[in-house]
Amino acid sequence: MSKSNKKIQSPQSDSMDDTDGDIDYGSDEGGSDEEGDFDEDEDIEIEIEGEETDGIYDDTDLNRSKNSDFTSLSAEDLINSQQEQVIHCHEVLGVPLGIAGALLRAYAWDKEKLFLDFFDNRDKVIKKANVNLNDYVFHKGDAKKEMTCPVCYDDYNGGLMLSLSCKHFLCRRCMKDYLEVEIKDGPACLHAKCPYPKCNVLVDETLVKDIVDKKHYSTYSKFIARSFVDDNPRIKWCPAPDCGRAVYCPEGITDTVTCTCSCKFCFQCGKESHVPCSCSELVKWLKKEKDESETATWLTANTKDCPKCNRSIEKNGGCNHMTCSLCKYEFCWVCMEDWKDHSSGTGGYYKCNRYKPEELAGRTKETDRETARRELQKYMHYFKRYANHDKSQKLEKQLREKAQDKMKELTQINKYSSWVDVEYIQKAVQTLIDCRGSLKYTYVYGYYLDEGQEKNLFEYLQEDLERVTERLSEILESTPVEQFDRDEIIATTRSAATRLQHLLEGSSNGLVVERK
Amino acid sequence: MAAKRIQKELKDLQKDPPANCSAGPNSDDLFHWSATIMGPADTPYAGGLFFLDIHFPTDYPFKPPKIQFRTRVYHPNINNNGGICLDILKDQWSPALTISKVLLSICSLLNEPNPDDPLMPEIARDFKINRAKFNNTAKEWTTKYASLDK
Repeated sequence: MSKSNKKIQSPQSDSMDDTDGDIDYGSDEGGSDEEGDFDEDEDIEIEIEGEETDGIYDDTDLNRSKNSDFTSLSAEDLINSQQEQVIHCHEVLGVPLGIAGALLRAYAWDKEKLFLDFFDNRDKVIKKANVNLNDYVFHKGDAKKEMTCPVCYDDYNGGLMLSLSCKHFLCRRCMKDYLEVEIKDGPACLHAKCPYPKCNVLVDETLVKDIVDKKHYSTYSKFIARSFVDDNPRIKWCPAPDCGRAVYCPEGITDTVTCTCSCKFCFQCGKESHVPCSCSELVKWLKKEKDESETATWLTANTKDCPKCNRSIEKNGGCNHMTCSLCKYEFCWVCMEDWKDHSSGTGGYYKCNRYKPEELAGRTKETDRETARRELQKYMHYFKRYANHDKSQKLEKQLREKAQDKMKELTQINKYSSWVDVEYIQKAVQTLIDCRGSLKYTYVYGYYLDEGQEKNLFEYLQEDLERVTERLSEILESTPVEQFDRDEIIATTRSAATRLQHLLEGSSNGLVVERK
Repeated sequence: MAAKRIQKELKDLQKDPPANCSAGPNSDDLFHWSATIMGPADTPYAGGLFFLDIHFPTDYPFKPPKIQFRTRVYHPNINNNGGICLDILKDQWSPALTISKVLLSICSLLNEPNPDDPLMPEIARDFKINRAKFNNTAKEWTTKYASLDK
């Protein structure tokens, strides 16, 4: 125990982490439990350890963007929540349940706006939703008369014919068939109208239940449930495959949300979380990625000009230390700078994330082609790093599985340790995945960032985060499990989490607002 | 359901055929019909006989029939493949409509093109800006492709 405490206080965990740790201390419920596990005789140092651990466990700050709350809803939650809203609307407006649902759908589930409009101009709302408050049941024809169904052309006793408030009669069988075909057609069946030409009377959902068979009604109910999410700007489906949950954000204005299935996605565009870059930047970037494909991208991605003699070089393997076959110039493949100024020994390797156009601009009198190439090079600089993190991200699942294996292994090696004791590994892996996910998009963000102080600062934070992320990755992936140093991993995890938070806060508070 | 209804429509058509139109099954296949429309008088289509193909979907009449001109027509709402841009053949279809009503609608479309919702923007432009040129071309096409003498 004392050994691990020494580790935490060693220079490896820098002061930045400690100050940030303070913020987390208060918000933890688990803290006292862990402290309780230790002997009372042990002193403050132990408390620090408990709190340090908690700092990592409390990762809500990463999952939630500030001042926005969100809830993950299961399929069951969705149905309940929807029913609550319909019942509320039914009670407040005094309209039948079926009509309450139709009104809410017509208002994209914006209950407040519906209430306001309804009390302001009731007729307009009713007209907008195509409902009839006083007449929403099936009507039967005159039982004393014979009537011809205009759909099947068969003659029936009027008592067997049905119509909506418009009195357009149909036989029961054709009404059923009509609605079932509409249901088979998709969610538009929620707006099914009287089958007569140009008649706009909406079929009430209670009537649908009365007439169609069970199988079709269950499909219809699913569409109603889906409409609660699809038409509702404050609820979004989780994009993870086979998740089926949705996330509810009452304010509707937030960026990244996390579903219970641990999938992080952007609430605005529904794509995977892409902080710090904005939705529009991402769209531009993805389009660019598509446009720049094929020849140009291949050429730029696979060949580079030797910085000294400008001969095109294709790198088909090996390390980043390049020697030009023509002029024997030695350079780094990533940043194209002299290899002499650029060894990992000087700590310079991570400088490779910095793109400096002024160095290239030093050359005089560029032709258009050179400008274009420079533009492409700038893009490729950012793209390659983006693609790199993208690749790492794709190994996520594998990483999680490996972590589970390691945790199992650890509990087996040390019979005194429980699952809780090795949970830090899971946290570390989650942080690693989060950092990589965000780092990927920092390059999109950086690409669209104008040169200047902000960019310098941003790149500094990015470089810092990249460094810690790589360290975390190395510890987790290359160290044999029996040599795992719990405290080092915890410290690095928190260090990475803190840096990620700084980067995201910095970019959202300062830079994004200013640029908008 | 579909077959029964189609048969009834066919009987009605034979009993009370609509003006200037005819329709009936191609062969034994009740779901595949051919129809003809006579070019309405006082239009550039006058004197022409236009053939159409009708396919009934299996869920007819809850789904609209698929109708195509087999004869070429110079018209803002009819494309080179004979496709027809008519609301009741798409979202405004109603199971209470019939082939006879649809054919009459197509006749009135020949009478009154709808250049504001065109399938062929260039023909629509001619129709709106240069009516004489439109009439000439439409007449030419009628003589060339839909003439009864052929």
